[in-house]
Amino acid sequence: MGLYGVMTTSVSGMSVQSDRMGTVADNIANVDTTGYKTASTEFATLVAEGRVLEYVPGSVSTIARRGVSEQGDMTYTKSPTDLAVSGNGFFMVQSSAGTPYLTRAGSFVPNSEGELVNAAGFKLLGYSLLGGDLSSIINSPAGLEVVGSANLGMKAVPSTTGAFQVNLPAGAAVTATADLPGANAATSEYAGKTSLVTYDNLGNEVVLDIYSAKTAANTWQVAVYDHSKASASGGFPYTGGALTTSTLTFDGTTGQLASTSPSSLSVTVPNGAALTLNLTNTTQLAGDYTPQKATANGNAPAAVDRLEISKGGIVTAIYADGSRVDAYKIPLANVASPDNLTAISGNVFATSKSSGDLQLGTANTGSLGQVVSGALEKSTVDLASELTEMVEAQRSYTANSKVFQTGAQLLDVLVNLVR
Amino acid sequence: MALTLSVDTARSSLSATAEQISVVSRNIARVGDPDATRKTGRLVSGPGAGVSVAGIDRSYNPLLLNSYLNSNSNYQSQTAITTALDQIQSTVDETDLERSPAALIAKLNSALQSYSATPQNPAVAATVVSAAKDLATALNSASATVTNVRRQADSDIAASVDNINNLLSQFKDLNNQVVKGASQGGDITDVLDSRDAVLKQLSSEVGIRTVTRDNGDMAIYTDSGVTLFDKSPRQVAFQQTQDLSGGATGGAVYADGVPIAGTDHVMAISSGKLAGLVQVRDEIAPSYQSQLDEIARGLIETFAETDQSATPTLPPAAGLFTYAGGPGVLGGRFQPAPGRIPGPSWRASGPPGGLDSENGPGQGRRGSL
Repeated sequence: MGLYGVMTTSVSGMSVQSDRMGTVADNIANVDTTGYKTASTEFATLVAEGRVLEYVPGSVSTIARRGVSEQGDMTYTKSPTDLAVSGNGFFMVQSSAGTPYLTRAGSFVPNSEGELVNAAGFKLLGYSLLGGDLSSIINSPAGLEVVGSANLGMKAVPSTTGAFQVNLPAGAAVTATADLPGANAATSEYAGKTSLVTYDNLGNEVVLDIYSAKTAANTWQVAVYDHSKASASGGFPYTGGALTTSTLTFDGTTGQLASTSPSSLSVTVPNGAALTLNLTNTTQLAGDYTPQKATANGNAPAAVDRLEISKGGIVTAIYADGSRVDAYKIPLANVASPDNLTAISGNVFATSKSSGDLQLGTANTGSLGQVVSGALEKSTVDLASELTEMVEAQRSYTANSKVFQTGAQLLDVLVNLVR
Repeated sequence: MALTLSVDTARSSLSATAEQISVVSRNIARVGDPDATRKTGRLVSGPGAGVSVAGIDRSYNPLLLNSYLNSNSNYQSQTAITTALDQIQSTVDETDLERSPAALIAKLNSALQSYSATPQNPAVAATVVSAAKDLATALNSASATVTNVRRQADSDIAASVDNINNLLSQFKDLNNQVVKGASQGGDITDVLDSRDAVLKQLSSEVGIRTVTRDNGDMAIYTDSGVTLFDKSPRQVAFQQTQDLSGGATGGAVYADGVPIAGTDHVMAISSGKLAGLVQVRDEIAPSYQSQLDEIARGLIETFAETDQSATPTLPPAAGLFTYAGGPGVLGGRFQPAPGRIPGPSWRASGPPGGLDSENGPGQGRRGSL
């Protein structure tokens, strides 16, 4: 029995070494695969219970391991949608069948529908921020959507805040009440005019004409008109009157706005939102009418030009006109035992009973790490150690085969005894 | 993994150096372009273990550019004035040269002196008439030149306004590219160069002041504070006047609905070609025209014929020099006399007339000298 035992033991030894060769082959094949995690083999003895006086050889079995939790080196690329995780987290992706998986392979590119798809065809999942920021992250894949620019569409932002800072010429002549810009008469006079582009609710450009005229010493009237309502000559009188008029008073000694003077100008953009123009730093000093700053936020309708991803996993849509809107938050997932995740084709992992349940969190929190844009996580395979392991496996396999050969020869000798 | 890491690091160094070389070659390629700035690649360590070009910087001094824009505007306005003055100068000439009004008046004077010595000599009388004709022709042609200078200035204003509108629309494209590039973190140095080039051209036409805002967005105002560009170009408008003879006023230039030059300007620009041209059209040429008018009026009045009766009943009438509004003589010392000239007429509010010396002694309707 002992000799047969030797043969089966050595066969199991050869078998585990071929398993080991398999992992080495797999590792070497995937040495350049983004997000690949090194597979390794661990061996365990199988002891055949026997009488104490007699040794019955057991055998050996393989336990395949994957170093999923090992951080790979980063390789940097020029694509902002190439993502890597620097930390323990995983991206949530979805197969074409809709099953959620975890992955570290973040070579995402927009597909024909604008969805971010990685090299193996898995779509990146994230929480939409378009309905406002999320108060908390739910610990389940529910609520996740495919990240893409398709459902962002065209977008217009109405103007709501702005600034209007000018120097009003202190030496300007006082304008008669009937000829003030606010009177909206053909004879209206003014010391200065600045026009400002704002946007209504639909993203139409609305040009506001802002007139300033001196009403008395240190006192100015500011009147705002809708440029589209101007007379044929482009000036007074405007149909429909002023959108707003305001009286500013200045400190005669410093030339700055007096503390009693309004420091902002509220005007409702026609067909748009209420716009508040900050007047701080408007001065009344000697010199010409000088606009220092005249701005308003908002933008005309624009399509999404590209997506940008921050370290916190916020996907920002950049529109053709340069405006930015936070569109998605990419969560990072983790499990209690990442090394026990089940590897699935395409560099993705599925949760298993031994890995523990899925936990979703925000990048930069806990040990999840941060999202690095313009980088890819390289394979964790170290070629040098794989090649040495291959030599070791070969040696062990050969030695096992020698044991088998010797066992077989001994059996030969035994059988030949009866001749 | 250390082996692959070192390969990566070496690769990043190669790619950073390659990018720097491309920046240098761009610099060399544009060595002759006055609008190009020197670009340098900014090296930073990382990301990761390697090195990379974090961005491209350009050697650029905003104060210097502003100072250039101001000087260029002033230079261009003075150039426009100088060009017009050169043309006008040809009518005045050196006072001792033959064609100047002063010399021609002196010639008439000496001819009259000869004639007073020998009033019976028809040949000498003819010399007086011919001298008077020369003077009238010179004054008329000077007046025509002035009108021509004004007409030229007016059409140059129209061309300048077209050019401003055109430059502003070019500026819009470039500004949009800058804003987009800056918000995306791309290399916008070349676009910034082109945008500055447009600004330089714009400063030739009109004095400007710029305000830079978020993402490199720029707003342009005239030196008087009128908006020319803020996200979109503002309309600069000008109506050319076809007939500028007789001191007719030309149209005003409007920017964003505000008259910035010409009649009834509110926020007047002070520099740039446009300012110079408007000054030529509305101040320099008319003031010279009124001086010519005054010479003509003086001549008509001096040579006016008065009723020699003991009790004069007839009003004075134009004599040797007459004009289209003749034969009456306009009174008043400084009332500008109506000029002659079919076509262009004097700046005065008087009726368009003609200064004429066709009627020599003995041939005139109203008698002779």
